[in-house]
Amino acid sequence: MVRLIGIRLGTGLITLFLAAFFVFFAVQALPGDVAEQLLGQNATPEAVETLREQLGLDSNVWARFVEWLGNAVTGDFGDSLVTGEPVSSTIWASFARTLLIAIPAMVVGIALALLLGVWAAARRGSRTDSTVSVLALVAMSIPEFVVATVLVLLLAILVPVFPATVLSGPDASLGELLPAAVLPALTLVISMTAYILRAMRSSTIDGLATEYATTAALKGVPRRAVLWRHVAPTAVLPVLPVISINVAWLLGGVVVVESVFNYPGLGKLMIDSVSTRDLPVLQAIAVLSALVYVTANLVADLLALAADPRQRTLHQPRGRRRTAEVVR
Amino acid sequence: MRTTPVAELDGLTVSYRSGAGRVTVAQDIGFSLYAGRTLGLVGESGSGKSTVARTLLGHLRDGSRIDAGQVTVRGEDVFALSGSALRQLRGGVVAVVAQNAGQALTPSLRVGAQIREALRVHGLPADDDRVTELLRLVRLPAPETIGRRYPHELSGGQQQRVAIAMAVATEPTVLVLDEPTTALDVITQAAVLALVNDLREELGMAVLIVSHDLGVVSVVADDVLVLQSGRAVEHGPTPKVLGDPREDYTRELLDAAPRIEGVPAPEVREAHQELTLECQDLDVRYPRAPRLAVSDFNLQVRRGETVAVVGESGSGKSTVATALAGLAPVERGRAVLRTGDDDLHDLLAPARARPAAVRSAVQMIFQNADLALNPRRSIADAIARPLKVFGRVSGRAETRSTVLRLLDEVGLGPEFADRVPAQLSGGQRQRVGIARALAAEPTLLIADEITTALDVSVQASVLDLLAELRDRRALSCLFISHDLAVVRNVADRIVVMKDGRTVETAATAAIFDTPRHPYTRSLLDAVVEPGSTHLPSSDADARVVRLDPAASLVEASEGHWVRDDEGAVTT
Repeated sequence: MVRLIGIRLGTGLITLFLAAFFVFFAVQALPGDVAEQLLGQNATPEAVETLREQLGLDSNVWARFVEWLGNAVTGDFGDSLVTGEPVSSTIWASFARTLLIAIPAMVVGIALALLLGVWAAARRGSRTDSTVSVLALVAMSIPEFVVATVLVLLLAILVPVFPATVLSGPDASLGELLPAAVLPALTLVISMTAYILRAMRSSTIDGLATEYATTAALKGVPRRAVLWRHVAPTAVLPVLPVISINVAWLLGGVVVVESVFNYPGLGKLMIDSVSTRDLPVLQAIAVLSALVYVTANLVADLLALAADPRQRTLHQPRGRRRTAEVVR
Repeated sequence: MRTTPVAELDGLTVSYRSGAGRVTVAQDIGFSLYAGRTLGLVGESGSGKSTVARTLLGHLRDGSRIDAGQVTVRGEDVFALSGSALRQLRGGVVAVVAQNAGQALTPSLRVGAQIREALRVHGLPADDDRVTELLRLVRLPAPETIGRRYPHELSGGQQQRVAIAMAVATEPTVLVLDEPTTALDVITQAAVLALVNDLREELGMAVLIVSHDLGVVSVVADDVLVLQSGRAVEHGPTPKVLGDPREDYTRELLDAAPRIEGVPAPEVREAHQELTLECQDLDVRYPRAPRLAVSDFNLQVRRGETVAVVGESGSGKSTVATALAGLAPVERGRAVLRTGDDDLHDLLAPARARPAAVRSAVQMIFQNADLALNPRRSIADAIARPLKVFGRVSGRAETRSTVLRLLDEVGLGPEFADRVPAQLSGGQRQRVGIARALAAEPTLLIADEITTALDVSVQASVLDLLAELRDRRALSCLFISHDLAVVRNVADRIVVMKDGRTVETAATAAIFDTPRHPYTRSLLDAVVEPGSTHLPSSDADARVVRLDPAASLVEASEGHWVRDDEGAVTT
């Protein structure tokens, strides 16, 4: 099992390296370089050349990749071309603000989705089931920015409980951010819950039809215990990948939602950096997103190992045979 | 009768919804269960035997309902019970052991916890000692620690024992066994049946055993009820029903059951002299497996000869089949196929690297016909595929006529050509599998457990078909099975395997008359058939016949080879 976790970790690291590699060279392949960006269209070729030398852009591209990667591993992504501040501190500040909406959305969304999914499956075919399913379908088919707009209309304009946008941008204090984080988080909960809920519902329905669920019921186990003890742990397995993709999507900064609410998170930072062509920041955001996706998938794999004892031995050839011999 | 029954079915009629109408699965069924006695419920698939058995627990499949009659357990109408009273009944008064313990145990819970749960929901003491006691009662090895294992870490027989421990934990009045041994090999089956007998005596339960296997019923049941399409055909004491059946249907079932005792040995057929297949010292290892799946396997098959490879699950018998079909890598050895006088082909290459002639010469029929046929393709398409791939036919009309001829050859009418597999019964699908294999005009046919999933009467007719085809086409056939009784009538020679090694090989009659290896003897002892009443002891599957790694095959008498392990008769 330790070997299994080791392999997963190793593939995660390789994925990260490849992501960094492609990000770096994709940026290199863009027409024009940082020096031209900085000096604008009217710069003299001599000035561009001088700046290139200053920035080290005239050295070998592989050498620069190794240097960039080496610095990136220690968390140093260079300085922003626009503000001149270190990229990492800018990104961490934005990421922290994204976490402020992503983590509550994640906790509430996943819990709600799993509960509702199992609940709807247990009442399959009833009115509650069809209501839940239809609502989930509606939530899936409406784009986030519409959900966000409707929420603003209801909870910021008709009944003004929460602020509709963050006015002071990245300089906003925590006290200012907290109430402003509610509506974005709510939007995210609504759009992510639907996917997980539907996956959990169909998976639980399959689980209830298994022989072990029937056996447990015929053993005299109350229905609630059959559902939560016997069916749910196995039923959650095929849902884990759905959850991990949604979590990664949340943590990567949700561009649309953050833009609607003018929320100074990672997604907003990305949009701003694209418009100002702040390449070091963009590179760092791309690597951070890759890191988030890899981590989310790794966590999902480990959770699957925890929930399903079969997977722990599945990858050892002849594992079962060996244990059978020990028993004898 | 002697005492009052503990449970009774009276005029029970059950139907389920199908489209607009209702289909009756059980019609006017009635029987009584008495403490300390066993009733066997016998019938083929679709006879409604499981549905009837599960009504004792107040359980019906979705869409089913009771149309008439009632089920009473200890004087109470089961279907009139309230929710909590029903839960008390289930597991507490009536307990069930399902067919496939591998699927009936919850994969995410340790087996000890599942037994403990059965005790706890019925308010019984559920400490570790009690769980250990139950595990010991069903004769599991290392009862103190085995409860900490997950179901997938146990063998099929051990899983079934856990399921039985779970069922008897509450010392129920009635124990329902729903095909408890269908998924087990013969030795484990015999041990589980003996265990059921012991427990019935120790705990004084009434037992209802559901099975399609008359042999199983014969060794454990006091009374038998034969069901056909939801109706009771015959009901009475076991020796009387199985010994002197009054109804034609019972007689048909009895005739179809494969037997060992009391039937003449199969006549020795004149075999052709030329070899079709010759294997020498084959070693097969699955990728990255530490142990060989098959080692030092030798085999010779003549033209028109059927050789059966027999062994328990994990003995490597199916590995031999897949290796010869080119679906598993061979690590060492030699395998030669002869298709004509001078046409010798190497059989060690994987299937995709073989020339078309070799691929068509070796054809395989699979155990599970419904998984081996594409559910979306018509039967005609399935059979036409090898015809086209190997260029046996040209043009649409010829394809069609060849398909119909092949269908006719396996006993299916032309109306089957345009059906899809879901519209066929299990036996019909297996016939399609055979027709598809024949389409390639093979020299060697490999049949991997092809009758395991079939009812006895269907099994008998498929075996007859195979024997007929073999004679007509002079096919060589490698017949893989775990059941010695089945192969007796089809095989000319038998190879017995255990743990990837051949332990004995001889002509069919010699294996049955003078089994020389202890493992072969234990296989023969474990066969239960209608009329037999003895069983080996209930821990027989724990007493493993051990193979001596240094032992080798010796020729004990002409054509009769046996591995000289301890207990083998070599002279």
